[in-house]
Amino acid sequence: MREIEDFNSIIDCLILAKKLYDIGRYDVIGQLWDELCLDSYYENMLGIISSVFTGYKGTYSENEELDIMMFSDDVISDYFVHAWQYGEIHNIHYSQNPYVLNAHAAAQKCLYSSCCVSGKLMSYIRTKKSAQKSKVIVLIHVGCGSCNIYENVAYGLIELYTWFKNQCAEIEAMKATAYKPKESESSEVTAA
Amino acid sequence: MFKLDTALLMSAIKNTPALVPPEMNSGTGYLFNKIYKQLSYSEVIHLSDLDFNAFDIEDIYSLNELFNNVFERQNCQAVSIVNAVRQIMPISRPSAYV
Repeated sequence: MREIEDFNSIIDCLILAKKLYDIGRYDVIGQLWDELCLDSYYENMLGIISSVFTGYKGTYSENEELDIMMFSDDVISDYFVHAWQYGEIHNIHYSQNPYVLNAHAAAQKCLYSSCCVSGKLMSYIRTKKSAQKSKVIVLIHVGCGSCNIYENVAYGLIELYTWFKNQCAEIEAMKATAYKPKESESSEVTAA
Repeated sequence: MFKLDTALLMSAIKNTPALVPPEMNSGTGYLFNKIYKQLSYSEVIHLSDLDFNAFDIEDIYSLNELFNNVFERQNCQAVSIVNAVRQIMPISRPSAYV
């Protein structure tokens, strides 16, 4: 019997793995260190951060002690393509587009976890092509010294990915319902 | 200074009932066996060995709460007693022959 010093780290990894499992991201779980321990904790946090969204670019600014991360994914692109379509159809300005506003609110909620982390949603809906280039940027001030920064970012990114994924699923379901022809109309056409 | 009768100590340990864990649902119970019990015996836990359908996120929080409120305290008490007994120095009895 021994004192269990790494229990909290293991629990944090387990929670994140479970969240990933629940949204079907078995690919990300497969990239984590299989052995749950204090040593694998930090590596797993970075692994999750770089894998939740399919597109990831990271760079570090030594002068400012800033970890700069950029994320892109089909769930972000598809969402803002729909936002663009909505804006075009209803002639709504970017600043008034409810899809844009909702996405920024979700990003704010998921990514602003502490004074050391700031996140920004770069959303473009001027054209379809620009909408596809929408992305998420996260800045981490590593000079703060807080050991939970990367864990909070991992949590936030999973939550944000889940939000976009659910929104895209709702949009697809809505479009499928909107374009489904009524059965009575199709039978009239056949008779004619 | 006090005297410790090792025979009495061993007897008391043998007769002490096994620790009964608090009531928990099936998910928390699964995690108790797969995570806490293995960790307390210094066994390695592998993600690939876990059945993620066997528990919810809430079960993980429940286990964490049990650990912080119950298990850790009991574990620390047990470890303290073990360390205290280990540090007791034996006292040699004068030989009857001398």
